[in-house]
Amino acid sequence: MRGWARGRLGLVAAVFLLLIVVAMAVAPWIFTPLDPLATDTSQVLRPPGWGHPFGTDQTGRDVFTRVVYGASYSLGVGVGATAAALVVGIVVGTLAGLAPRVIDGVAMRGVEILLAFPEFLIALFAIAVLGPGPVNVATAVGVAALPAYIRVARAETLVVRRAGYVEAARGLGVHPLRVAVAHIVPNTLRPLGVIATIGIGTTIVAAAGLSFLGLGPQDPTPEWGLLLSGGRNLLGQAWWVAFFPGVLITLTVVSATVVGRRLRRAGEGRRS
Amino acid sequence: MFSRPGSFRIAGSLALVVSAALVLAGCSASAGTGEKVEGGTISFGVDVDPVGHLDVHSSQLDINAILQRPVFDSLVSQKADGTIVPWLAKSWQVSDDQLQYTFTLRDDVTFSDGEKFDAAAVKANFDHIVDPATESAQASSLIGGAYYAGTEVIDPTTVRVSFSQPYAPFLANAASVQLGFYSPKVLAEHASELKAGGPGISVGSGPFILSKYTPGSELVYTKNPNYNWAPEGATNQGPASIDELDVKILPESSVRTSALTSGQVDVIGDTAPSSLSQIGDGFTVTSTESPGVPYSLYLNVTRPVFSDVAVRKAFAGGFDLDAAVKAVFNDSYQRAYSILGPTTPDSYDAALEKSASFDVDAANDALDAAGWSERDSDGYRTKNGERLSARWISYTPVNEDNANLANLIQDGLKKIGFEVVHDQLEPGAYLDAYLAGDYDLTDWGFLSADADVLRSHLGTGGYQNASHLSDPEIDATLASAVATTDGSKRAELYTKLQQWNAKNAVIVPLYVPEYILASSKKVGGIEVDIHGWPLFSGAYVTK
Repeated sequence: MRGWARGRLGLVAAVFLLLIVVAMAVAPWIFTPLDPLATDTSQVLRPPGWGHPFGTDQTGRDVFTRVVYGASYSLGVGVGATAAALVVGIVVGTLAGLAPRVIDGVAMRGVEILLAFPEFLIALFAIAVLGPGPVNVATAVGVAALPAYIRVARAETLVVRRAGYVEAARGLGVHPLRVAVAHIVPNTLRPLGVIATIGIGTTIVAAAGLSFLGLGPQDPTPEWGLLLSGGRNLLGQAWWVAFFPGVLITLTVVSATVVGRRLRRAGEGRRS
Repeated sequence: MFSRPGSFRIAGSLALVVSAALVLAGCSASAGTGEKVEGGTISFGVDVDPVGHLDVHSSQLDINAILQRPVFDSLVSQKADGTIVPWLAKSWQVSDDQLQYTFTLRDDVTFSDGEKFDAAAVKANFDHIVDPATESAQASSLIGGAYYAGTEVIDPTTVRVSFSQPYAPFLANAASVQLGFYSPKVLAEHASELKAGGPGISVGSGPFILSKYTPGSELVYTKNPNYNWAPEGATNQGPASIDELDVKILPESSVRTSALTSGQVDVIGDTAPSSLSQIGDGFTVTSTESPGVPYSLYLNVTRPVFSDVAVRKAFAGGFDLDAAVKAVFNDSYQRAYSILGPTTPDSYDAALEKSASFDVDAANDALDAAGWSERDSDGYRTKNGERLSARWISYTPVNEDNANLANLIQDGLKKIGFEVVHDQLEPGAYLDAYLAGDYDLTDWGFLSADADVLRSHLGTGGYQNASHLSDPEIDATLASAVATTDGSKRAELYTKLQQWNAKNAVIVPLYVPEYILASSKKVGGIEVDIHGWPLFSGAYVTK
């Protein structure tokens, strides 16, 4: 009973935090009246306190405001990259699952080669080809996440295509494309939705990592990875510049993972 | 060939609360607390690996000049106060027309590969510098550029360098490591490998021998046991005291600081001013204001936005530089008033310190008068529907201090309705934009011990003339200054140039960088040159 309560509390906290982060991304002005780019040379490196709950950075900008405005970049890249990977993954995975064995085999060997590399390495490679920039970071992170979605979409397709209703639709002479769109894809979505929820957390970390390395949005954009990087040499004298963006990244990713796992467990329960 | 010398060292960052005495003294030997012992190793942490730029004759990286000084000797030596003393040349004579410098060389000098240093070696090296295949911009400019007429061997210990017109900076430049000497055998056999460098290739006659190079990680130098030809007046005239000098590449400034404080390295260079509070009292800190062109913005006068001098002046006076420099550097670096640093010999015009001022009203009035009087929805000024906007390109990586300064400048100018778009570009993309002239402004500082550095920055076609300035009167002033050896006459001409720039705002000087060297008290005898760079020939470790 206590374990259940603790788990439920964690879930509630995670959902609450994600809602706050989403609100920050959508309507940052609710949280702070300040401009994330406005400098103030009379307020340099102030520690957290009234007026500046997270302190100020080297140019007197409010760290809290920058973290709030940073949510839209980080969440935007996380959600955008995951959504793109999901859509492409479904299309490629479903086609591979329905395709003749030879084509399926070739496609899957290709995916396995990609899976053999760490996701971050693939993202770095994609950045090396595309060049730095916020859109390219989202693309790179999406490309890196893609192989997992293709695998799952294909595996689900292989299961669903043998289902009675699919056989029935085929037997009735429904066009194969319509069978795929109307009967197969919708029934592969649930497990994909679960891994996508967990995936958002992973892509946020990957995107922040690329930005930390200077490959994403550029200064003075308030992106979390960039904020973290900007404070890394100040830890000895002004810990708050790097600390708060770091905490936000960690909490967001942990929350996304907690929610995703809960969804997975719920999904597994229903299926059995 | 193009590369960005100043930017790399400026990239380090700079200054903090360092005792004024150290700053003024310029040259100061660090003193160990314990008793000196022979032998041992000193490790030195630096920020940049000069990988691919190890050739002293073609590299423009300041870090390369620092790291090659232990290996390469020059004809003469420049002391920290700017005076020139004999080194590999025992003496020299300048002809009455100042077109010929005749050097009498020491006859007891050998390169570490056993080759003898003589007049032919001097000629081989100077010929190599001006050889187009070397692709040298900085060294070939230091040796005189178009004024350099050639080097001839008179006898094995006498060599004559000639110029087509008087070239005053030559002696000071001859002291630089860029005009240092390779073993002639290396020049003959490994000319194509000099940029890659390494043991057996970076071979000179200096007090140390480069014995190991691991790119991205370390350079190891061993003592040259035969060394006996130090510059006149050097404390240590013989071989180095230490057996080995280990240079560690530590790009992160916070990592360098903690490597020093934890005892992993004995000395660090390009120390971040913000880290000095962490370093504390147990260490020796030397901070030296850099001579040459301060860290500055170069406004491209060929572009529509900056072709109007009124707009340039409004730009320069439209943001609060005093407050910005103070916010970023916390009083450790001084803001710059002139296009020459105060320590540049025979040139600095201190009168400009009174004239420069931040004036929002004047800037606003000037922009209104120049026709930029309408405002768009974002609050930026417009003229004929076009926004008042300037594209600033920077070479990456941009160090944090400079990035913060840029933010303050951008934000300050936004308040007078002047948009600055700051594009921080990868080296390749930067070069493309730079060479195409596709920018309104760019930034760097350029270290130089001679005011003649202005010729490359303001002279028509100069290799650092990012402003694309072409003004016959400026060219004439630069030409007469470089031909003048009389110190006060030179100062007069350079004062004229500095005042001209203050009136025309072609270059906007921001701050005077300093080179900060911090060392453990376990080592001593490290002297610094006019740039503040460390010299290890007299360095020792203590018990």
